[in-house]
Amino acid sequence: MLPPGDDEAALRDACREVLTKHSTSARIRLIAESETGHDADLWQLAAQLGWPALAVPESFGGLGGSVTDLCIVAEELGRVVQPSLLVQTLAVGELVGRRAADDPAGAALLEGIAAGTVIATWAVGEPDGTDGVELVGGTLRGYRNFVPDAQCATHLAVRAHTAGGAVLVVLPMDTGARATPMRTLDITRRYSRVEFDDVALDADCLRLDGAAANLFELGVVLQCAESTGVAGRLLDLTVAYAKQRTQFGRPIGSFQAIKHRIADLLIEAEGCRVATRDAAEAIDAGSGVAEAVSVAKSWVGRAASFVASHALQIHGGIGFSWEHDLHLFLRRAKVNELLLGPPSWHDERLYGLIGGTSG
Amino acid sequence: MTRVEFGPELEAFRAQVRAHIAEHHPGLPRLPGTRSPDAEHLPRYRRWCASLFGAGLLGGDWPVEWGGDADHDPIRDYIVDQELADAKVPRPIGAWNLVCGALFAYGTPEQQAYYLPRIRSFDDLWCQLFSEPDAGSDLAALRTSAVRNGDDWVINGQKVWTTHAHVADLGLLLARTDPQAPKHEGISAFIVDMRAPGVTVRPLREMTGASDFNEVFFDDVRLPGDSIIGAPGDGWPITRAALSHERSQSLREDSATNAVRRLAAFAVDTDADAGVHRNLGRFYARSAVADLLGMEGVLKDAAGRSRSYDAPVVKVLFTETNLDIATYALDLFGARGVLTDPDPDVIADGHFQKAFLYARGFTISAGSNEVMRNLIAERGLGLPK
Repeated sequence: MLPPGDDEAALRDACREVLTKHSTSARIRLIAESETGHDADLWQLAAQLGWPALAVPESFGGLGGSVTDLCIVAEELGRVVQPSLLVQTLAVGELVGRRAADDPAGAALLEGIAAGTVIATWAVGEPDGTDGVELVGGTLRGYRNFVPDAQCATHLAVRAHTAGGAVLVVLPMDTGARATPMRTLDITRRYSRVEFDDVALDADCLRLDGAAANLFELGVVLQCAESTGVAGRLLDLTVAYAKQRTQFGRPIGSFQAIKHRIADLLIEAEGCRVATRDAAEAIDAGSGVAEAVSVAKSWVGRAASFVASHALQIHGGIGFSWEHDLHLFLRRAKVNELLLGPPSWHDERLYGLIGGTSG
Repeated sequence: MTRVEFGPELEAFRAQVRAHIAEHHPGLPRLPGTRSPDAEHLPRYRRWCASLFGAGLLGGDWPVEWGGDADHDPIRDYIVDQELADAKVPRPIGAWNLVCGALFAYGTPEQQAYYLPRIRSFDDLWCQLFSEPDAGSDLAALRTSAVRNGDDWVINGQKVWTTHAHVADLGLLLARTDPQAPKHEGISAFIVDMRAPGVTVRPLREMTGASDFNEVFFDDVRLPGDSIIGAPGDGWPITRAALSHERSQSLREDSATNAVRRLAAFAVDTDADAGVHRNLGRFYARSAVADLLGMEGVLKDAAGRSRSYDAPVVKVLFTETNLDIATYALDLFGARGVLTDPDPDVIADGHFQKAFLYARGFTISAGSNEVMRNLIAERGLGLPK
């Protein structure tokens, strides 16, 4: 762990500048109500800027970024409640680059991600086992819930069970996966149930043994990074509002009741930042991953929702309006909190990891 | 926390710290928080602290002329703290950190030449004489007076919550030299011989039953003219510099993760239910995040990138997590949780019952957590006063 260096600051600043300009509230709302739910212009721009290439090794035309770098992008996307599948595409690029770069299908995928032509999503599944996919004799069967924006993805990474343990399968969406929309609290990101009715894997499909757990851990970290962005942005909005909003002849930020609440929000947001970073570094280092990831989710899942909740309270009536963006952040924070294992699931995992016996 | 990797030079330094501890082991208990050593242990305690300075393990950040290293790496201080904690040996107590900060910036050459080496040799154990019965969070409201009398100063008043006053040789005193001036401007800083005539130290008995703090009374105590630090009226800037230095030290707290591990072992033994598992997992995460923020604070400090709210954030999170864990532990133990040391059926040697009481001191001392939240909001985030 080191304090953020200049390279990271440059990446963060670049992302923030582009997203501030091209991912405005009006644009997010427009895309959310569009047919595809996908901002193709932003994707194009991101590809030109090399954002998806961050997750791809240099030998495949990528930039070979670390998980810490990917988290910076995810955090910046979270700051503007962007639903972009960039987060999921980065995850797939990272896993394929690390595990299957020698496979021809893997190489093609990596080149596609670097070029911006592959848009990937993930079907991680919930750790409570409510959904499930089996891979038997080269055929996928079953379903996964809560797949982000499957309707605009070209590829899907799915966790599947085999007799020999869980594997990760990456397949083109048009191989036969069937997506049915699910309605969730988060109105700026679409989720689907994706069903596999005996989908036969062909040469374009990629099977990664042992990478299923990696997808889960990486997915949680990127989700935490996104929520860290949500918390950070909400803190900024709330501080600015408390300075500007006047009641009883004074800025409301001069009242100690408001100050102390905001100080607590900063503590929560700071915790989000270091916990996510530590988990990203754990994945980069390949050690202590489960513990660091569950520490992050236990804290960040709750903290982002806490920050959203108090940001709303401090904004008063204006925050309760449809036009104000606060509810978009509140919705994103809550859905992120509950998916990929709610904090309580990660708490129980931590208990097992520190010497308690789970279940 | 496992991913903090230091280069070979720092790891060699760590080995040096371990070797030093092994060779000079004081055979004294590591005292939690504000506890003072027993008077009979003091000579051994002083030798131990002096050995840490002598070996260059402490005071590396000092100016070179007073024994510091020209290219001091603050991460060394972190490593020393970590190793002392792991080896369960004491770290130097007292107000020496505040005092050296004040002397570097405001001390006369004579004061520096006399007092600074005596800190390193631990010939002088210092206490801090700031708080008063009517000046706690509002420290600048202090009323202890210092009045000129010829070359001397005459001190009258009362201090309270003075840690280590009963064993200290010297005190860093704040007193009002100009009652007419605005409250922050009429304060000056002095060096007090704790054995001077007119100084009375009376132990305070705290809610824990222990006596770690004292009341200190000044009745016409005469201080020589050269005992003032800086000029009359410099007391407040000296205090601010000293306190912010003390707060940056509070970035290095003992981890609460070990307490949570102990509770997890208890939960296994007693076949606790899933609700308990989750609560302990959550406390573990909170403790780990507090450790990460403390660690990052040290690294940012080292890189000159720290922000004004870093230390207050860490202080609030550490102390409140600590209190919540102790409180939860007693709830978890149920009826047996009421037993304290030396009851034969006490759980974990009464550690959590003690912590349940002591934890309340830390959310109040060194700037109450409410004052910390004001600092975060006002100095950190720029909210209006």
